[in-house]
Amino acid sequence: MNNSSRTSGGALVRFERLEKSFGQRSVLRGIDLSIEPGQFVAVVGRSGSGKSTLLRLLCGLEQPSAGLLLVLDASGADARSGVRVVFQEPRLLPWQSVLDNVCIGPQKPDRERGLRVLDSVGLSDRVHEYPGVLSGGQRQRVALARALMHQPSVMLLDEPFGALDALTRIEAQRLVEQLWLEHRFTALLVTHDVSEAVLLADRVLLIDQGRIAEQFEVNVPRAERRGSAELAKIAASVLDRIFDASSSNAFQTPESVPPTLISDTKAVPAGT
Amino acid sequence: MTTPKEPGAPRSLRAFLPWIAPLGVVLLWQLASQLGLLPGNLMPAPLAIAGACVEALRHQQLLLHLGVSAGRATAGTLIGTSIGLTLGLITGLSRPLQLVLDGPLQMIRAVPALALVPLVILWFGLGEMAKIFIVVITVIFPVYLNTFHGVRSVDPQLIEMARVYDLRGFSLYRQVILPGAMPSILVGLRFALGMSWLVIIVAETLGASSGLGYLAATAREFMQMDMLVLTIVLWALLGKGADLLARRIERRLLPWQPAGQRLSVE
Repeated sequence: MNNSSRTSGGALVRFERLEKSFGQRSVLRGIDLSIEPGQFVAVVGRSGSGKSTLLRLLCGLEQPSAGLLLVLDASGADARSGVRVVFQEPRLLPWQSVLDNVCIGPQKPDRERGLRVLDSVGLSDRVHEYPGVLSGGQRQRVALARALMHQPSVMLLDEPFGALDALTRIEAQRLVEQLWLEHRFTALLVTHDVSEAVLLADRVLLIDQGRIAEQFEVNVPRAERRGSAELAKIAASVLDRIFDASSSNAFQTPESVPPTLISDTKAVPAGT
Repeated sequence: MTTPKEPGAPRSLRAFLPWIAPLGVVLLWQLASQLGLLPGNLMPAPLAIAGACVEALRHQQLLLHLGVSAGRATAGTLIGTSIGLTLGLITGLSRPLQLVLDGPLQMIRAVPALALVPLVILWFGLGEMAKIFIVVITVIFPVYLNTFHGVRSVDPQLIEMARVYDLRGFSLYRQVILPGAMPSILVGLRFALGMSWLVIIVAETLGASSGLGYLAATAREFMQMDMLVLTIVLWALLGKGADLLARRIERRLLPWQPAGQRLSVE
């Protein structure tokens, strides 16, 4: 484990002409992207656009077919060992207690830190239980704690709120934001929920057909974001752009529009 | 939430429910014998069998024979389970080894272990080795198949998660694959325990000078009906005992599994 990557603060993430194909099928076609340390970036796009592949490349579950992928700490050293993931499913080991799940890894478990991290996600009273008895939102908080355990330099969030009910989702979004403000890791959130993307991110990337189709800066102060009209406007323009992009490629992407994309337009102004 | 209350009848009554059917059968049986509906020379009454049991305990060293059978079954189960577990784990984890080993193993599996008895007696004589070998051969396959299946069906999402969290090699195996396969392995073990009793006693009737099967064989030769039925009753009780043992092991090894999710039927 690289020591410098464990100090607090995020890592720099850079993709250069990154490509990924599975056999004949090209999924990512030349991604150029730089994410500053500590920035919160959301990636939106329709299913099959390649956004999840981007995340899987970053955490080493896939290898790029061409191009460069860098994760660098403040001293310029490779910080890929500090990349942590929260998946859409909690993916907890059912046979280990909540605390043991958080302490997973080849290193000797630091149980005291595990307890502190669980406390920071509000689960200090469930540490010795099995994941099977927790609710969906609680399991996802355990997964968050597990990712926080080793001072991540980059936190990858792969639709982590997708399976949660509406109220639990708001709670979980707030928790992620608060933890990010506290730890200042670099965050990459993959989501198909545009309102969620603009709510949490500094910058929203739209991926379409394996390319970054557009980037949107979100400059609304975080404290004023929920229910902000300006935020709703940004969300609307992101959605417009998604539909533009997909209507021009209508024949290449036959999938139907995910229903969440439509309902989100209404959800943003109403979601106070 | 840790100790959910089960609905339905109170605990004491629930504990009694499984005994109703066996006790009823024994009562009816005794009644039928006393009324002369069952001929005593073909089907002795429960009380006569109990008498035979006392007799056998006093003069024929019943407990010793039981102990001998149990020892053989245990030894064979331990050896067979170890072999089956090892084979299942390596074929489950390595595709090439699966291709090499699975075919031959399936062929051996198709041979009933008891068909090997004459061959085994020629190889090992009538000694302990022969009986234990039969049990080993029988036990290997349920354990092997269930272990293999268990390893293969570990949730790939969990393995992916473990990779992201740097678990590799032995620790991946110990923390993710083995516990993930454990419910299935225990189903195999439960089968194995039941079958080991089955084959050890049949093997003993074919050629032995001790054990429950030997008692059954001599009882048959001398037409000792009460003794013969006694061995069968003991067989049933011991099979049930093996099953209870398997369940206890399951509960000990899978504390995380809610009762309703266990693979085997309670």
